[in-house]
Amino acid sequence: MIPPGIKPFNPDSPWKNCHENFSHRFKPGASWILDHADPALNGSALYKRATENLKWVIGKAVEQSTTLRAIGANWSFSPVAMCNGGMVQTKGLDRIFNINDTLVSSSYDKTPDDLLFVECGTQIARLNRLLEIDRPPARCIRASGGSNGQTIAGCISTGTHGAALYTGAVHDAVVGIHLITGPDTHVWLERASYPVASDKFIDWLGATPLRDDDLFESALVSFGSFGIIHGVMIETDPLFLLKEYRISNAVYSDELMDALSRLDIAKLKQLIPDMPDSVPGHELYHMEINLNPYTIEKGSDVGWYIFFFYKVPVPPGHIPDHSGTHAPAPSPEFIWMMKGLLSALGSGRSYNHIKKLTTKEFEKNIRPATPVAKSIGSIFRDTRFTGNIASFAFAVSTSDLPQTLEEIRTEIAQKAFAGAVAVRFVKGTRATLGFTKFENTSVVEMDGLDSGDNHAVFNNVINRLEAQGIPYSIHWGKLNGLLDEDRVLAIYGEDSIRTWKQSRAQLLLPEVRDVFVNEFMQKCGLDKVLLPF
Amino acid sequence: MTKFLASIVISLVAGCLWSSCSIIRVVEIASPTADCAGSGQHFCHDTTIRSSIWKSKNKVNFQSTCATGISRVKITTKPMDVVLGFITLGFLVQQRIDWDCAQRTGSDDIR
Repeated sequence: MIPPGIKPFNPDSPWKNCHENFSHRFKPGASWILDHADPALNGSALYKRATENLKWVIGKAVEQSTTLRAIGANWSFSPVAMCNGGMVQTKGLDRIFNINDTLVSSSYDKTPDDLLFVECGTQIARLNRLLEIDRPPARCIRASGGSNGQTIAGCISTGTHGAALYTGAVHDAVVGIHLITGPDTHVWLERASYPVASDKFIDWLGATPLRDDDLFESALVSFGSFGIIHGVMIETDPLFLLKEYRISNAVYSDELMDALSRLDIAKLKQLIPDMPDSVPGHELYHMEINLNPYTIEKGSDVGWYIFFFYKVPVPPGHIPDHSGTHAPAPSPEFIWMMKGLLSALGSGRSYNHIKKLTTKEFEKNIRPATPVAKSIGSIFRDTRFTGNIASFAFAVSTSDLPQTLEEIRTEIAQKAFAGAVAVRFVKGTRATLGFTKFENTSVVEMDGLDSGDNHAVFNNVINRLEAQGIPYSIHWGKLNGLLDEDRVLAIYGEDSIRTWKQSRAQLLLPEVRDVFVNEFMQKCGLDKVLLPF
Repeated sequence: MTKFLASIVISLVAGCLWSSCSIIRVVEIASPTADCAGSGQHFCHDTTIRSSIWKSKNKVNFQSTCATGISRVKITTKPMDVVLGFITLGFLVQQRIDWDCAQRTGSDDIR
């Protein structure tokens, strides 16, 4: 007997991620879709019913000896969230709960207004709308990826980062996790060093409280390996706007790269006269660079654009506008034709064609600065689904950025890359396997055509970093085929891997651990069990 | 008598065309959300509707399947659908409709 709120689900075979850059086959008869469709129940009752239902589907997977993975928006570029067994669709679990002072720990040093409890399937677009428009007083999330289709659980589990220079990635705003760990168990996880929830809140969940920094930081970025995240407590800020500036005349020089590598804002201001001052009420918040690897060269400002976003107050009466059309981007048809054309030309002959086409597309698509200040929800919005796109991202310490960019430039001078390069600056995370692991992290994004030649460039760039001894990490939710057991160990270190594995072993019983294993974990050696001391 | 019958038929045809035949409205909203994920770029729900321009009631109400309203709709008429409609003199007209149900709005208090 299937409980109310659960329906059997037969995924298309093959199943594709929403960006359609890979396909996958799930085991027939092992997938479920969960919903809140019962008008007789209130939000609290529906949330609790969903908790029981998530426990039920885990129990079913244990009973059938099959693997299981929760799928939210199906957004990742890699099969990190896929498994050979079944999927649980959680996008229908989209309730958001207000937090009042009775639900907050007396040790919490902020206010209940700073907190929101968000169910796993809630999309960032819905969260932004609620915070910025629907629910007074207006507030906002602290960081966002470039788009808003991800669910909150998927976003944090794969390390969606944004470019909040002093704030961190999306998951760095999470302060509590409601985790379903088995057919009969679910826990409330929070840091012992940063307690948030009151006993009343945990009683409402009916969960076992676990206040432990290691467990929390391990589960935070765990791509579905620690059971199913049902809800997360996040911290939000009073609404602010971001005023964008595009600097197109900064000269790519050793001096500039040195200032960037040290995040020496005063020096940057000297080198970039057009860079606005960061003063109270107009503070630097978000920084990114977009560059054309074919045209940048030392001593020139060609192909090199720096975007600064400054945090500014909200004018009286301002209502964020989440409407509008998609940002300009090459059409899927253009991408498809370009990929076909380049394949037909062959790798030897096509270098100059790729360079020419890439440069043309880069200059055509580099956006001007938005003239008016906008909210996070207004800026980071819909993306067009475009098949045949390869999105690869890795992180380095910002101190290693100058050498990293030179390695990319050298590589692309030898082997064509049909795409563009961007750098986003993010404050480092405390999450055990957060890929934004460096104190000051630079995330280097290489987005381009999903072609074999581009994949070879990704591979070569990582080989170059390794040859130069530059520490790096790779985004979990983007193309990550280069990760294996040795690399994961080298990237995160023995201590972090041990802590992560021990935390997993502590939270999940052996039969449940087997449910939440997938090929990606096996490839990275993360399925191996290390029992806690 | 013939004139009377002809005018009745013409009125019926005109009425059908005016009130119930293939009026397509695609509503675009900002930041579409959905209650489940489809494979790839597919929407979560779909159906193929088969109707006739000679039928008086051919409206399909699929809003009732979404507790929280519809976020986006795609209507596809394939060339073969057009040919089929032509060959059958409009007795069989088919289109595929894909849609996503929206996520809810608002927030709850914990009780």
